[in-house]
Amino acid sequence: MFDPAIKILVIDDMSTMRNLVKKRLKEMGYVNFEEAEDGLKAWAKLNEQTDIGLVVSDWNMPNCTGLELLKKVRTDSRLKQMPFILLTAEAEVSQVKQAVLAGVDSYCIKPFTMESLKSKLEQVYAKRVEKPK
Amino acid sequence: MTPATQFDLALIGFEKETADLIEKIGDGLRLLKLNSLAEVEATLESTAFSPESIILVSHFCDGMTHLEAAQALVSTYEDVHVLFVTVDRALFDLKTLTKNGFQDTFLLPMDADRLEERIAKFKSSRIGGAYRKYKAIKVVDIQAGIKLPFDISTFLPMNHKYVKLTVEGVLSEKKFQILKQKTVNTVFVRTEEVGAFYEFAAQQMVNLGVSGLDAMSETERSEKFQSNVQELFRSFLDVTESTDLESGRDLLEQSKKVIESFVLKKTGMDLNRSFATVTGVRGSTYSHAQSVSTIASLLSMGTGIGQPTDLAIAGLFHDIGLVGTRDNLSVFDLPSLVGEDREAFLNHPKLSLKILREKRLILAPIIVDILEKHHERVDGSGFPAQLRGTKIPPDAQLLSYADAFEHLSRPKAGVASLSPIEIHARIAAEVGISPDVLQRIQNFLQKSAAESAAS
Repeated sequence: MFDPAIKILVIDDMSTMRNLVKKRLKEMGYVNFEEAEDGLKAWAKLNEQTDIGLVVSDWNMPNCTGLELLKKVRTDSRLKQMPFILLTAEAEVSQVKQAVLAGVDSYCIKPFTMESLKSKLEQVYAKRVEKPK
Repeated sequence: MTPATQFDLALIGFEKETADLIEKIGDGLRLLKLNSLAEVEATLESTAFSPESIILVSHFCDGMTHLEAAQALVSTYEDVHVLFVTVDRALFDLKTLTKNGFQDTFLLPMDADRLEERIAKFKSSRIGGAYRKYKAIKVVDIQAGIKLPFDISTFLPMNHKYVKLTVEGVLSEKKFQILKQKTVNTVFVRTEEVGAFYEFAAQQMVNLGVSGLDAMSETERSEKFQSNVQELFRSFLDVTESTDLESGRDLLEQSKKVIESFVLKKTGMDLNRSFATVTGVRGSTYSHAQSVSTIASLLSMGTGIGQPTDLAIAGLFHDIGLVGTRDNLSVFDLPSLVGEDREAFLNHPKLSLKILREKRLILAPIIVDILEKHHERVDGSGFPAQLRGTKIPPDAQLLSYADAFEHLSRPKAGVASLSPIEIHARIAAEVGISPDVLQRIQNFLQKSAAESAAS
């Protein structure tokens, strides 16, 4: 598991979903959160707050989608190693491929369960420990 | 946090009229109604549902779409059923709804009975009491004074109650006259007696095709037979046009069951079992093949073209060669099809016959002929053999018509329904059927539509 004190940026245009993701993460033991309602605001926060250590982002959002944000993150010299999880209802193979090609660490299908989100976080952590980027 | 209140049934984003109706059906259940994002958010924080509870979501929730609601609800309550209810066909995209977490979907008014059944069953399991489900049926050859193998009831919408009309299966002359005067065409049979109704209706159809069974003259018999066929076919017209609460899928189902029973009585062939044997799957209730089988058989009865049993059997198997293509392909998609899909579509009449041979299903030569030629066109532009004119049997043309009719009459999300006459015009223009066959079908459709309007 990641350090429980890690600051997690939760991005979703719907406050209900942000609250739900935070609630699930709190149940896992995480305590430190930042929120954004679209990719643009998230990008600003990532640049302002250098202590963010994990991103959990929705895919479909106005202004800047989760995938567009991921691409920006992966091409930024400071942020390119940021663990990034996409949450989305889009489970088409072509879309999963796009996300993987863009460098997503993991992909969680909405609606999600506590167990599915937890296992995705654990997978990302395990990969990072095995193969630090 | 321990939630303060526990609920059984929630309505999210409903218009008052629909909410009131559902509330009535679910009377006695602990009900929660939410209409805004703020209310939903507060609920997610503090409210619990009993296991297997039902959350019905529509699309009038302020600040939140029905898809967002489903995602949030399903992610929060893992042992609750989240169902979508709408009257808006444009929103009824099953793939999107399912992807976002809805476990079942109801398009009103067509699915009103199914929704009522779902809530009533849940209510019965939660707070006890007898649960009785009724099925809507069209009044097919029901007369006064005859003992029926089932009881019929009528529905009082104001009281939301079913009232039995028959006494031990016998409808009194007085009640029969009331039904007649009020031109009631739909009555209800308890689900456990629906099988008896199908049997009865099919036997009526068989009897009407046999001379000398009763005192009826040939003209009377023919008129009665035609009237029964039109009655059953009207289910398709009703669905094609707008439906009321008593119409819809139940009535389509009724026509299909009567035809299945009719074929069983006349030929000994169990259509469902044969389909399952050949395809390895049980046909879904509202599958294209079953509908085409029923439409083709009814059109055969109504027009006198071919044998109704042959058309029912051919209709059931006409598309089994369409394996490996995307779902719901029709002849109307052909101009835009390319590559493997196009090749598979052009080859499916032959492949269907090959599959039937491999499964050792022996069919009469005329049925084989119908299956082989149901996509040929009188002008020679069809497939697979580009036959022309009289080389295409009228039976095969009738199946071609039924196939196209089913595709065009099936409700599609976001697309306005065509009327039966519009459907007929499109088929006449695009499907390559001979003027004689078209005219006979048109005569039948006009009679059925006139009956439908009169009711």
